[in-house]
Amino acid sequence: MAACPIFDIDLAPRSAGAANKSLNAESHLMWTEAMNRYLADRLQERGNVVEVEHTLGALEQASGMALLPLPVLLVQRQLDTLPESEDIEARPSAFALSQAQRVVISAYMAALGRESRTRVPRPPGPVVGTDELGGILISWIHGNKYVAAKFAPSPDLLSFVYFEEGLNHQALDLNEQTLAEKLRWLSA
Amino acid sequence: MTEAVPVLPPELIGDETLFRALRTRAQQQDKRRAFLLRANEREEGLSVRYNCTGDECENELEPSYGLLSVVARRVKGIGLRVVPDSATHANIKDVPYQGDDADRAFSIAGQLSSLATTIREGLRHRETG
Repeated sequence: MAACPIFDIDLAPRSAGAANKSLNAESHLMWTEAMNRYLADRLQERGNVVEVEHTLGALEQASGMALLPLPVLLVQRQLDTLPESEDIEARPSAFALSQAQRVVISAYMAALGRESRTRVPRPPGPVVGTDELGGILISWIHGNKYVAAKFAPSPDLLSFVYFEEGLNHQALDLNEQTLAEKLRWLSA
Repeated sequence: MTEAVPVLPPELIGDETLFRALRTRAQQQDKRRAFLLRANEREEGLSVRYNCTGDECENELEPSYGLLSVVARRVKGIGLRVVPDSATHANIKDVPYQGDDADRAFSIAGQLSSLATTIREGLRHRETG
């Protein structure tokens, strides 16, 4: 792995056959932030999720440290680049974007947990777009299950999470808890 | 001599092919979105073209990400009405707006997308000349 910034960070040596757990909290944070930047750049360069997944897995194994789950990184990137996309009907409102970034990332972290080595089923990749009023609609499809989170363009309009499986469907108030619950349900 | 005004049926209930174009990549990836009522459709209903070619329908958008079709009698079959307002345009009535009834809006959009056939998908720019 050439040109990886993490190798510039001073890491304590690993004991043979065991994960390195002796790093202090500050080094851990620095390492994690550097890794996330590296992965985001790789995604932007190559757009190759499989390659980045392999990189992520190898680095976690080598370091014994848990990184931010890749699905979180991916959806964060999709939201961050949404305002500049040429592929949308209208630019998302600042309100919708900030709400989406906060709620979706929190929901992913709650649904996946911070230990990416835990074999928690991951949600499928989301479809992210806007409506003609600047609201954001994010949807996930997994087999017969469908989840959609609608972030209204302004606080006076309705935001909701909708889920469906066959004839069973409902719209709920949208917050980190309800979305996390539906992401877990989707992946189960 | 005055041109005869076509007499429109009150509803389309037969094998008329109704076209709905895909406006964004997100609609292409999640086709249910194409059948969500837009804000400017709240009064008249979900806008569809009929009695025309797919290209004529798509060329109204710039760009287009594809084209879906659904048969009028199948729309009728799920309890909606297709009401023409011209020889080539109609509106699907009784579709709720997501801001008013999110559950029914998404459920009906899902039913319509499951009835639809993808005629074409992918980015395309309007044909000129």
